[in-house]
Amino acid sequence: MSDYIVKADLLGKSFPGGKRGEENVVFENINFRLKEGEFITCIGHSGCGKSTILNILAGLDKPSAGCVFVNGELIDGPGLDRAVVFQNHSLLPWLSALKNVTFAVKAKWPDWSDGQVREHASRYLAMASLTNALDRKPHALSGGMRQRVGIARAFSLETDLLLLDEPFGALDALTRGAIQDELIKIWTETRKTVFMITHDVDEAILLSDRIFLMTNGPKARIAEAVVVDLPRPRMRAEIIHQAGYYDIRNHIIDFLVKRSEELSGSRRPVPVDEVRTTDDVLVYPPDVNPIADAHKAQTQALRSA
Amino acid sequence: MTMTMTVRNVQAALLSIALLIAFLGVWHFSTTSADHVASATRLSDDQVQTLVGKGMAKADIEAYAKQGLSFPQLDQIAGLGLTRAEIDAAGGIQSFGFTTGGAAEEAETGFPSPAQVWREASEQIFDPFYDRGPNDKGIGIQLQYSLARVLTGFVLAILVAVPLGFLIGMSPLWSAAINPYVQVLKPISPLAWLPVALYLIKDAEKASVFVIFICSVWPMLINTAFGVAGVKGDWLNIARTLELSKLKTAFRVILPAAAPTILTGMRISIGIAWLVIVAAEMVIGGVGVGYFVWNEWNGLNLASMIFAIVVIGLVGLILDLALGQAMRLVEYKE
Repeated sequence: MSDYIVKADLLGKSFPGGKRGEENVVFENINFRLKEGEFITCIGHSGCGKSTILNILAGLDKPSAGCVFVNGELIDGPGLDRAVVFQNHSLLPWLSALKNVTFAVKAKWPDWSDGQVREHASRYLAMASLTNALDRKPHALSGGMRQRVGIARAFSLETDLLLLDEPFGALDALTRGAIQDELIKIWTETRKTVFMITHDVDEAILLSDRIFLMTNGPKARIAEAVVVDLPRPRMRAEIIHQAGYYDIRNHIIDFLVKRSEELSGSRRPVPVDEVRTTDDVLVYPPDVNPIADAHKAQTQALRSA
Repeated sequence: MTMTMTVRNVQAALLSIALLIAFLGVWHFSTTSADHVASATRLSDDQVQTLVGKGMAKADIEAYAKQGLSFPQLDQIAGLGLTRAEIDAAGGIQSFGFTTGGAAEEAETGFPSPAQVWREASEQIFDPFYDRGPNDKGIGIQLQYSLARVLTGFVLAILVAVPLGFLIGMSPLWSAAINPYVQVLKPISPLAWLPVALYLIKDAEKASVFVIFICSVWPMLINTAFGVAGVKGDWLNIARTLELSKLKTAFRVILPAAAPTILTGMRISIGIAWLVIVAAEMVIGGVGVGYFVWNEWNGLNLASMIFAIVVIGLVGLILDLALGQAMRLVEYKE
């Protein structure tokens, strides 16, 4: 139990207001566990509720069903044991880059001296290569720099769990690549557990240990967890040439283009016997290893030949 | 870009000065030309007949009229029963207490020229704090009283409007509950409160402060509520994830986020307060720029009155600039 830092059991989210008093079920029966130090990304089409899952982990949203444990404690509201990087940087515009980080650091360690707070914040801003922009206000920073301040702020809290909600969604492709490198750098130095939402398949492969693939909503669920069996440290420029990269990529693309729709709850209702209500029979999404599968298929083909 | 802006600023400044000169010119000529052209009093035939009937020679009447004496004055002279030659022998018309020419003319048309206003102004500016009894105090003293009333009422309004605005802005329930009262009370002219205040408080000074309070409170209340309600959800989420207390969230996140809107409300309020104090002081009397203007009008010291009006405008401008400067301190770009 203790090697899992996050445990989500039977999460569901639904809204009233469907036809004839039915509930609109966004997702249901979501179960997953995150190991300490794991980098998890979650991919799915818009409307599958992946941002809601992240907000539930952050404590900013409440599930309609199920519960989440972080470090064995039931989540009931936001807290300083988790840090969030929001989609649109969410820096306080009247504070400089440094002050935005010290603001968070002071909240976490109110007893620290000003010097200590400043030193701690500067260290994380330096990790995000922002040493030259400490005194600049957000409006004077580029989109990429703002997002890096947001990342530095989240990492500076030194929480066991980091939640990243499409942090690079609003950035252009070149800036995005540069920040991915920064994120890898910071994550490698800190080795915290990360749960991240993304739309970008290459980004997910570059960063993740496992990738959660979600079916389309309504009634979305996590169909499988793709294991990214590629060696670390990974480099953005080299990873695409690595053996197996395209096995993973093709598997995910195939899922997003075809299977996410075929497996969708709206198209194929979950049979009654699949709906589990007791805690002891949680069904976790199966780990899938496209590289190993491809290898197996290859050897099988050779053998039969 | 900055070049064209500077050029335009210079052009605007030159145009402003030209407009001022044109205005002063028109003012000057319309008030002083009366002195030259119409210095001779024009008497109607009836008036001449009346004077002749009182025993005044027609030639004398014409001569006096040329000196610029008015009909009432001529009527009085006629009452003396002396011919013009006899009066001149006795030391001239002035020795009987009659003024001739421009001074008499001024009393008739009344409106002072820019030069006269300037003379009055320079006297007042160099001695703004003189005090010669209850109805004759310098403009400086009048301003002190008015500003004290405005600032007291304004600060009281801040103390009420900002916390209440926070409550309304943060709670849709309170917002809906208080909104009808705000909507009804807001359009009431602040001066309408003056009798109520005078009756309840029984003190003119405090009543005027109350009027300033009541006129300042609405813009601040509405803007504070609007600013607080408009704080971005993302910023509040940050406060939540950092487990900030309600009080800390209010002071560290909501207040700085809403500050520009709140200060806009304050800026509107101080402008209205300065408008209202002049009217209120005209009603309550005693001391203050509003009363000063009214008192000068009653005494027909029009030059002094015009000077006071200009001062009211300038002080209003300074108050607005001060709030504008304060706004700049809390403004932020997103």
